[in-house]
Amino acid sequence: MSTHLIQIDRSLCSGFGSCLKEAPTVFALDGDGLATLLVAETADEAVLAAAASCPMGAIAVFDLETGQEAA
Amino acid sequence: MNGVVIIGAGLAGARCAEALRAGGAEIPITLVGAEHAEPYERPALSKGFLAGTLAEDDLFLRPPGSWEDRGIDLRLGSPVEHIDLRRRTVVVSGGELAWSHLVVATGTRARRLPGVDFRNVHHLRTLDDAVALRAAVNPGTRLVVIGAGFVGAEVASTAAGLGAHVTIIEAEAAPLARVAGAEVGHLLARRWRAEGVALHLGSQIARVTPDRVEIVGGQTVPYDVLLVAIGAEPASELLAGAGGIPTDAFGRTAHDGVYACGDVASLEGRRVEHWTSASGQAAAVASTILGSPRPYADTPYFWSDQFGLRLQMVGTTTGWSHVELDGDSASFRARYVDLEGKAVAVLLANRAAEVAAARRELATAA
Amino acid sequence: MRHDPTFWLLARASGLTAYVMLTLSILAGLLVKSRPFRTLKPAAVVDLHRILAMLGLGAIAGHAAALVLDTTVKVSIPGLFVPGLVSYRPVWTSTGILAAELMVLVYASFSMRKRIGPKNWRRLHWATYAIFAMATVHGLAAGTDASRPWAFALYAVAVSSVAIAATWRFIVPPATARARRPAGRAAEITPRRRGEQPA
Repeated sequence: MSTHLIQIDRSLCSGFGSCLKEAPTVFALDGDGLATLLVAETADEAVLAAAASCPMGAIAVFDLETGQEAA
Repeated sequence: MNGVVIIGAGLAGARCAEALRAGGAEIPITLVGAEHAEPYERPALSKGFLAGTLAEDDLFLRPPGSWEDRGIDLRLGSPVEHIDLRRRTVVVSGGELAWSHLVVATGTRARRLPGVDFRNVHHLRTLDDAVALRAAVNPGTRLVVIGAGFVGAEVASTAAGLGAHVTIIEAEAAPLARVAGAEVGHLLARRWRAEGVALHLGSQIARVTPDRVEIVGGQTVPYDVLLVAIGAEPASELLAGAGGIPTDAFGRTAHDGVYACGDVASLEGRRVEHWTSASGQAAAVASTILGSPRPYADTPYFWSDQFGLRLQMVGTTTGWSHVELDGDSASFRARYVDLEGKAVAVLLANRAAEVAAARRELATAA
Repeated sequence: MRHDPTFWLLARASGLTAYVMLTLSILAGLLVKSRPFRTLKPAAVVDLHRILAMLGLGAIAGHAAALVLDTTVKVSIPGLFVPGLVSYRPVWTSTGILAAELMVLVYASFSMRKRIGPKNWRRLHWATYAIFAMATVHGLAAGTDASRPWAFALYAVAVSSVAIAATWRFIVPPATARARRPAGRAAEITPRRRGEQPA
């Protein structure tokens, strides 16, 4: 199981919130209604589904081992 | 061993393939697309790609080579000619593909005006369309857009930002009238005009020639580039004739082992052309094929970036009796309320902070 | 934007290289006093010690540059120097920053020996053990490769060889002490009694 590093581009975030539904331990919505991270690294594979579900493509997930973008 | 064949390498098809692999499916997955490009983000075509801030490489859903890495056989430029339900194959030029599960995700086509197919007439659905449109629109170009829907509005907005002279011709009394209603439509019309777009509302097309559009009532609008943006029709002929492919909430069609998702699918009688629905339905189909079916039941949602507004719509504007409008043309919330006072849809403009709340309200109400 | 992991991988490679150079430099430094090989002149070992330290600093500079250029983890230029600015594993990243800054100080102190005095210079040099400890912790806790068997073996070998060399240096009498005995002392042998044969 590899560790994933997650980044949110808040300039793209539209507050849709599907990321919270897919990975509630990783994402939350802040006071502005935009997504924010609860943790920066996780092995939870649900972050990949969360990134795929974002209509704005605001979530980037990197595989720390390879440095490649996983999603 | 026959695996899954997915017809359509757009968002829904691509997401379905990914979800199947991510869910642990080890069977062969073949993703067949008519377009030559690898799966890409369509919403960007009328926004950043047209504006020139995004390049083709920025549009792809996955980096080149990712599909092969995941053992997903990607066949591009291969329109499917025929589905053989009895023998469980699909016919492409060059052969046949056998399937144990078939997913139809063929999307929609841009509707055309009969006889209007001159050299400088454009439609916008595919990457090829967008490349041609981007090349044609320059500072000073006289762009006429027929249809004040979301695609027309976004192209108009992007083109105006590029310095083109934009005119929109719309048959309804207000832009986005069918979706947003008259009151909000007029609000948007005021904003569009303020942004420098010429707007002909309530205008039917009498005739289109290679250099001008003639409106019923006598007005003539000359153009250098014409965009026909009058909506889309589902590419459902392979399976269901015109009008979309009917499915249940899991994406299952009337045929065993055959699924449909995305713009082409009519889920429980309702067909929408939304990014989130395509993505969500694709995941539902994948989960069903994998044996732990999860229905797609999310409230419809879409967004549009136009004329400095981020519009976000939650729900569907059917069955409403009046609109509760809060705000102005720079930022507003429109609640579409039925006779019992229950909200059936919410349209937000530059109010991203309220989206999550609107989704929660409409989800519980549904 | 397509993501290019080249700088991410370079950052890891240069970090490990810096650690190896640091380890070798420390080992060379420890062996100056307790040279097990008589053929090696102290001056040569000192030179080696300093060259390895310089190479280590060079690798650290490469490590820093690669981290800034890399797009996997966001590192700004101020973040390279101010502990805690980098959001990625901030405690362990800061440990590395402090180790590097201390190493620069220790390396520079050699040229300032005359100004700070030999005793202060020696005291500062003791900080090398802290540098090594922090560099090891940084590599294990912030480094991506630490979990791999070969990397873990590298850290284990480095730590144990430094531990062994340090122990050797403090237990074994310095070779130089013997060499430095004045020539005259060699002649101080047990006085021969008249008529006795030399032993």
